[in-house]
Amino acid sequence: MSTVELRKVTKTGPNDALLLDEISLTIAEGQSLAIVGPPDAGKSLLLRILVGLDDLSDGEMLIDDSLVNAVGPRDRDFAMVFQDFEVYPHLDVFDNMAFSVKLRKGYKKSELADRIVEVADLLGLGERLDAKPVDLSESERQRVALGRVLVRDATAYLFDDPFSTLDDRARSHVRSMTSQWQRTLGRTSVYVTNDISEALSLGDKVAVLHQGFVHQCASPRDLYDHPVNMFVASFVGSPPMNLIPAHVRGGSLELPFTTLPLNDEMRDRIGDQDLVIVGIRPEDCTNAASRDPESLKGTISFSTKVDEVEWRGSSQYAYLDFDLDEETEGELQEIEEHIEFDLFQSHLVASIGPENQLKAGGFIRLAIDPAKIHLFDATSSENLTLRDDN
Amino acid sequence: MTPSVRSRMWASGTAFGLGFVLANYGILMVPRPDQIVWLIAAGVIMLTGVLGVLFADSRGRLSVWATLGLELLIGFTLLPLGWLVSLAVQSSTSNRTYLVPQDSTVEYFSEVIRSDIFRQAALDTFMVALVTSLVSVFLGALAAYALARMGFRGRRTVYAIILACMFLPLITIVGPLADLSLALGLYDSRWALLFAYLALTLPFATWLLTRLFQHVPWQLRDAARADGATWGQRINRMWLPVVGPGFLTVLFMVFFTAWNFLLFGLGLSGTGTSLTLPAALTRFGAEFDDASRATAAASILWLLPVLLFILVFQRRIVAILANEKA
Repeated sequence: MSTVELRKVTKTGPNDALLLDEISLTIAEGQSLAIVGPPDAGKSLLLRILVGLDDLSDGEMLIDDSLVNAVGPRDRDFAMVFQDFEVYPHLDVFDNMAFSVKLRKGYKKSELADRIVEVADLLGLGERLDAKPVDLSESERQRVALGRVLVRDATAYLFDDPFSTLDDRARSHVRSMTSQWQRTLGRTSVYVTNDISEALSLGDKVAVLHQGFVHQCASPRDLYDHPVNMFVASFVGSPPMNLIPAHVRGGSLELPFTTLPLNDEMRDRIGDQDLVIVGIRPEDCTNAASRDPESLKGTISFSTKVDEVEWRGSSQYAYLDFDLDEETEGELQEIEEHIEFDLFQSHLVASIGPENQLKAGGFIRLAIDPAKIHLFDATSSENLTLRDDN
Repeated sequence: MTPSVRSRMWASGTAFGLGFVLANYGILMVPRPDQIVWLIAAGVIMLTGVLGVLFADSRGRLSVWATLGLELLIGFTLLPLGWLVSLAVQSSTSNRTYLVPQDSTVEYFSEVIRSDIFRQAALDTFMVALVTSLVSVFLGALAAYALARMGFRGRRTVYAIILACMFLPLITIVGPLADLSLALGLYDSRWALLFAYLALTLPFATWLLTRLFQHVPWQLRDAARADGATWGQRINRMWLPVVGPGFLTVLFMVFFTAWNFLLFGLGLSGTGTSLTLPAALTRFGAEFDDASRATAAASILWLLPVLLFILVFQRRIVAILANEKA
């Protein structure tokens, strides 16, 4: 178990394309880091660099404070589950799990066998130890690949989307088994995923990777409550944060539905910009009628028509369409092209509680707590509401 | 009557009728010792018909047509082989050859094995086929790796040309090759055969290996490296067991393609100093008293390694030809 550190790691591809841009991350001993981002963000590449399959173009990688840039995979001694979960076709499940350990001298046969049986039971493969990969289902093969890594004693553990083929029910089970196992043994682990809820549940820290660089690396709660920019704000959370363009008009913000007052500090931070983006999480946009009047103090409320209602059993969302002028639309499109992510919707999503009998076409009074609102700079996309000490 | 039942009834009727005709032909026309073979064959086919009718209503996945076809296929395949065997094992004193051997002798086998022409041809064929297949598989592997793994320009064209080479009527190049080897002073030597056989086997080897390589899980290399395997461990514990059997199968397939090929042995050796087995068989008439029985004995000796190979490797051969994971 070790601390792994990346310092300004850069990787360039063919034609000098910048694949990873000055990535600095520290994974403390025994901690877990989840790396999350949309497809093709460079997540798998980062893992390949960590494990030593790909060289880094620039920067430093350290294991327990010693430089390992030039150290090969064998001596880095990381354990990794690949995205396409390779298993050795000529070996049965038991031998697949034993493969890596057997490559090194000084292991105890009986200890290895005990551990393999333990891990196999954990992953629901206890009955399949004699099976060859040909006879396994896709999900079983993926669990074998996972098991091959869990039985090892390695410097650190890397998981590239390790639960992708499991069905929802099995996934949460295997996921919690895996993270429990790793935590109990105090193992340094890195999980890569493109599912944000998986990342939030697996990582002590979560790094959001997009366009080749880390937008933010923070604890799950911090990431959710204090996103540094619009990309993180929109990517972390489901349904995503509402990002609504607002124009600055004489000390207050004009949203498509309502007007928000601005305090002096905010006015300072906005400066002389005309357009800012207001971010409101759906759960901070609530039905005023269902809250007790005391808690509505200080909130901004407004009445509006509901265009669509989506009931999900434990939650319910109301969709409220709004129109934008062409100029603003153009500006939003520019931002999206720059960030290469689908940030903006033409509706506001509000969480209205599952018991509400609201129908599409009806009217609702929404309450928004100004303290819960994020303001984003339209040019830099940075979060203006974050205090400097965050 | 559902369509499947009707189809089974038709097949059963056909089988029964066919068996009946065969049985009658056997009884009326076939001499005594061989009658039993005809009757057994006819009996099996008629039984198929009877069972087909009895189980016509079954919901199981049985096809009477397929069963009948399989029986005929086996019959047509085994009959010539059986004839070959009975030719080789009956002594020439039995005035007539039957399918069911009337006596048995190893006289022809020992005569063939002791003869120079057979020994020479067997050695020549073995050497040429061995070297050819090794060289073909080596060169073919290089080409196949590129074809299977690298997206270079013109890849499809190259592959198409290689495939086209396999359909070349080789008799058209026997003449030119003979002229060429005469000009180079190689005529009548194993070298001439070697180059000619390469022309035959290289496209075949490249094609087989390309198919094989398309199904090799190359990403295993990364998995094994990440697992900490050294270069030697990757070869020993992974590549040899994963790719080795397929490779060996291709090597054998190429070897037996050369082993079985008649034309070049005929065309490129005039005097018999570098005869291949199939070509030598055509000369047995001049060498042995009872040429047909000697040829049969030699043919069996020639066929045995091929049959053995097919029996041992059948699963892998099918996998490679059917383009499946072995």
